[in-house]
Amino acid sequence: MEDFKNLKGEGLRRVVAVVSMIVTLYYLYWRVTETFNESALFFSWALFIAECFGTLTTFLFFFAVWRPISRVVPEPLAGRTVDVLVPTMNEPVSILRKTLLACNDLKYPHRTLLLDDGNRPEVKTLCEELGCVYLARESHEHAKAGNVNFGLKHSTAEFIAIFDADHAPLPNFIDRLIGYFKDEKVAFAQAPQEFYNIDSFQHRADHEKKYVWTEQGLFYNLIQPGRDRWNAAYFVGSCTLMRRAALDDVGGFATSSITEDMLTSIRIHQKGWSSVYHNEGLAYGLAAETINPFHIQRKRWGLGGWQVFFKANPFFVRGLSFPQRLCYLGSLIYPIEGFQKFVFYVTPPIVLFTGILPMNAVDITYLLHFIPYYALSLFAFNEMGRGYAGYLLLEQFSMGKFFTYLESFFSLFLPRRARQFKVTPKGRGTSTPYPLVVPQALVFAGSVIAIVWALFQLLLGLRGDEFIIAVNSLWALFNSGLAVAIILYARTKFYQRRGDFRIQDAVPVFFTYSDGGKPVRRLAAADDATETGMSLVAAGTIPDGGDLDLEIMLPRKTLAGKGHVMHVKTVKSGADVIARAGVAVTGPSGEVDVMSRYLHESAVSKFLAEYATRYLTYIESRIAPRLERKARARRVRAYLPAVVRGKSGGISYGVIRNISQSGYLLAAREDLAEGDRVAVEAVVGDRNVPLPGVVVRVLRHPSEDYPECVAGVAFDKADIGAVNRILAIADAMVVLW
Amino acid sequence: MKSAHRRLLLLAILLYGLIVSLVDLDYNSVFIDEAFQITMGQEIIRGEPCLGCPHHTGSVMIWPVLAALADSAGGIHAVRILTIVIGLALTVIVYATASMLFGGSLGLTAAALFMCTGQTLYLMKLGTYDMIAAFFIGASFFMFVVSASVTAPWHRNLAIVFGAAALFLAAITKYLLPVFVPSLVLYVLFKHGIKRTALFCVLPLAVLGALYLGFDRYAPRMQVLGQVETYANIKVPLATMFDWAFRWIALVLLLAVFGIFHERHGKTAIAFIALSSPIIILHLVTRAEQSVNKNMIFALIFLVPAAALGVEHLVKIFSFGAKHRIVRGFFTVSILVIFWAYGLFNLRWLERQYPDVTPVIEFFETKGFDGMTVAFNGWDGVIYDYVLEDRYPNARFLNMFEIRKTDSPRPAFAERVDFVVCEDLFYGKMSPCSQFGPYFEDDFVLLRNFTIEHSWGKTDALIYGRR
Repeated sequence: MEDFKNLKGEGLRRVVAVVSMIVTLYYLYWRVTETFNESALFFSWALFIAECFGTLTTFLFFFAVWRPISRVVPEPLAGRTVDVLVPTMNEPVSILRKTLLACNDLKYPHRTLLLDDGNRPEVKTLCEELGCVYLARESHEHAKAGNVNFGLKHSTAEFIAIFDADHAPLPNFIDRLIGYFKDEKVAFAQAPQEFYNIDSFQHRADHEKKYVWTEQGLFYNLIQPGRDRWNAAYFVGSCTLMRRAALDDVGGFATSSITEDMLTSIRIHQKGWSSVYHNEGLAYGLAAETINPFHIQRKRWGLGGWQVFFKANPFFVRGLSFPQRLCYLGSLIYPIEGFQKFVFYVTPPIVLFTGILPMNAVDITYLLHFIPYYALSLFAFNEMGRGYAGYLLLEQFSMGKFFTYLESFFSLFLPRRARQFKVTPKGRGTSTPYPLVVPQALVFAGSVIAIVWALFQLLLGLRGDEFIIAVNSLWALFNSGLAVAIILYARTKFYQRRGDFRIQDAVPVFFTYSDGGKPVRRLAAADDATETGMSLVAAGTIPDGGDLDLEIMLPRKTLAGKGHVMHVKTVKSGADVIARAGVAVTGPSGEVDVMSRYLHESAVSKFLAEYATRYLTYIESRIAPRLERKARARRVRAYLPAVVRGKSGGISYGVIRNISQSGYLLAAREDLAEGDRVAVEAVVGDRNVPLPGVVVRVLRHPSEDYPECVAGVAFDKADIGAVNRILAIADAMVVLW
Repeated sequence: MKSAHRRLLLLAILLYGLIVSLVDLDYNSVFIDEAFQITMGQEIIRGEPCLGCPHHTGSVMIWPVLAALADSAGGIHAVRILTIVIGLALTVIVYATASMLFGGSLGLTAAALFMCTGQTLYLMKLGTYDMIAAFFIGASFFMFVVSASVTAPWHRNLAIVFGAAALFLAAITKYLLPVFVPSLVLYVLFKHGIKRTALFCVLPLAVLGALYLGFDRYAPRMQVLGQVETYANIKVPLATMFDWAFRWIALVLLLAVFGIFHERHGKTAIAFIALSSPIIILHLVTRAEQSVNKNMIFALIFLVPAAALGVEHLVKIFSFGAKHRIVRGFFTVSILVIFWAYGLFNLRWLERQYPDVTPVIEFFETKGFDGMTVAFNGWDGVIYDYVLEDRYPNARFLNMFEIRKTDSPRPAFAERVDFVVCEDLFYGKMSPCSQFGPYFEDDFVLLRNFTIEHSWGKTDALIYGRR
């Protein structure tokens, strides 16, 4: 949870924002008074309005995030009744199973109700198996909102928790949120929607730097905490705990928009209820994995936004405070961005093809006005974004969405049936992404052809506006870059064909295979896993295509399963062979469920915690005291299985995750403490390599059911030859990933 | 990129510059400064008093002598080829400077940008002192950069001394260039501290400066001041000056501004932009438009490495982290192509900025005679002196100011004039034809009216002959 109180340079960044707003207003004044091209007024106005829209959204953003708040988690209220509602339409049973297992594991007493608008017998069977209440309507009017309202009719609980079918809560979800309802005015407490599949279409992950950016990160990490300051955080349809009385007060979930969440929020705030945003990941789900579901989701949001804009415009409805009106306005006008970006994308080709300018001239005077305004706006946006903004990535997604938003606007004029709620498809799907990137391809082609055309004209002496051509060509190239990035990313994501996202982890696994009828049992490390597969790493051989008996050593539990080696990659380091195998795993459903719970409740949060989601802004990096970097030996990623002989003399197993000349990081199943002497042996082939050491640092994962200890171990009387051998193996292993 | 590939690409860049310059070496008639400087050099070589030296070259003999020697070997073509060679050498210096600071690939980008600017290509085939002055500035800066990257103290000191010497040569080659002395000395100060800067940079500059002033044959001081005063008298409005100055560096400057955001070398880009600024500031402050297009090459020497950083940064932005090499390659090439077309357009413009007086020359070749006296409303008589010297050794080409009768009740020439040439707008901007009309309208008849096309419009060249 980000503590905004302790962020450096808050005062300075607000000064920057104010200066930027003043400069922007001056720039717009100058634009409107001195730069309009009288002979191309429509073009001039179009560009000017697009710039004004950008200014409006920036100012609303600055207002919303002016002073974001960090909540202190209150003590949970005891003895309240809670119903957990999970609406579903067509999500796969495998996904529903994970969600329902997680709902069942919620520590706070509750009932789980699955609301199936798909009326599927297999889902009913699943509910019976897992002990959840199965509810299905005969008619399906008002889509998700109608389905949840139907669930409300079957619920008498004081509080309602809502999760999308692909969003599985952590066991403490209700405990962390229910304390906020001590204040009788609180209608709902919203937690962020966290997504763990960081290879999705809307994520950009840098695995080397352990940094991940997500398109919705700015909204969940900053805008919602910012709006919370103005009592304007809004319900996002999932990961929410709601007071039943507040829902009854507004007549249940709003059904007149396909984005029922925003409209319901507006109505709740209109009635004087307050809201809470709890900025801590308490549920994990799947983000749109390819451009196809992303497009469907954003089109729905865009259409819903337009519907709310016309039907319950926050500027005209009663009961909202002025800050709430501004915050809602900021969230409602974003589909207009489609028109704004369209203007920005077609302006350079028009200028390059025709020589017609949307302003008097593009000369040094223009640049002297434009560059300070634009640079300052970017700087202020970056600063006010508190390290979540990622301007260029946002621009990239704007390119990805502009036509989607235009479509959503024009679909307002389609018959009601054609604009019904469409569920975001889960999983990768099989639809080709190419039809969806045609608008981006057109932007690319139009821009490049326009550049070539204009340069030819310049070289042939048919035109003399060389600077205008140069500047617009650079602008067109920027747009082309955005388009290429989206096209390539859509393509890459489409061809990334692994069934489920593999969660990085470090689990010791024994695998047994038959070697000429003789069973061979060896220790390996799983470096990633799902319920149905894992990657095993071993310093030794793994039989390609062979069947394995697996003993997966989770913290406190060992699971048994069957595995089949799908592929093996090997590398040599001297005489040592290191293998990494992709293994399809099957096992009894009880074991699979345990694996699913472990992955969801422990592995996901461990894995995501390793990735930074924000960067230091310029002001922070200048003000924050420079971290004193100790000279650290080079660390090499390893994933080597290890035998750990603890203080008691007993044996446990672990995984060496990285190693250097001075020590290594050990994921242990045994609870270790600083100062402990450990006799660790790396398992290399048939022999173990002793790496004795002293624990110098311990990180404990707080999961109640799956406690895990990650220890930093410094070598103590280790044989230098052994250390170098393991380092050489680790170096060689790099090519396996 | 392998160093062999880099060398090949550098050769390709140089070859491009060479070809573009050579294929159109006769793009225009001899430019007035070319004629002046070659004539000065010839006088110096012949040991004659070089009365024009202080005025036209700041009394520096390096370029006039070199130009006169080249001229004796092959006429104006040889002079222009000499500047081409110097321009190619300067491009190598720009490459070496950027390579030393940012690595070979960015060095190549800097060299490509430099070679693609209109000014470089234009000055490479203009036989004036501008290119050699730019070469000295570039060499000076290169030596200062070298001084900051070598480790042995005496290598460092030697590099500073060489840099100071090159800076001195630049300053005495073109009288505007002392404007770079403070900023470059500051650069050395920033890199090496007070002691080393004082001993190996300021001291050599002071000694060389004192020697120059002490032994100077034609003291340039008053002449230079007079020149500055003339410039000051014909100030253009600041906004116009702004447009004229930035027109020639706008795109490079824009790219250099993007260089500021370069992840590793952003601060260096700021320093380079600052180093380029003295000549720009000088023009803006004095609002003197004379030679602003040519003088911007001195800013380009510093701006181009920063612009190379800008290109790299833009490519990074445009390719949005795409790992495909083809994507980065596409955007790099695209930016360079835009720059190239922009530069080529500027080159064509610059080539037609000065009047092509070939029709006037051809007129005198057929209608003139040895011993004739031709009066001009400008100072371009030296062009005809230079071009027609072999054909009419006794012909005189004079400015009308020099031969007007001052004690006459009506405007008249003090001596017999056979032809009058009136060219307005360019040479005539300080003394338009209309001002001199009364001197010759009664006694002369219009023989020819040539229209000369410039990149900025059309002007007339009127030739009058005695009735």
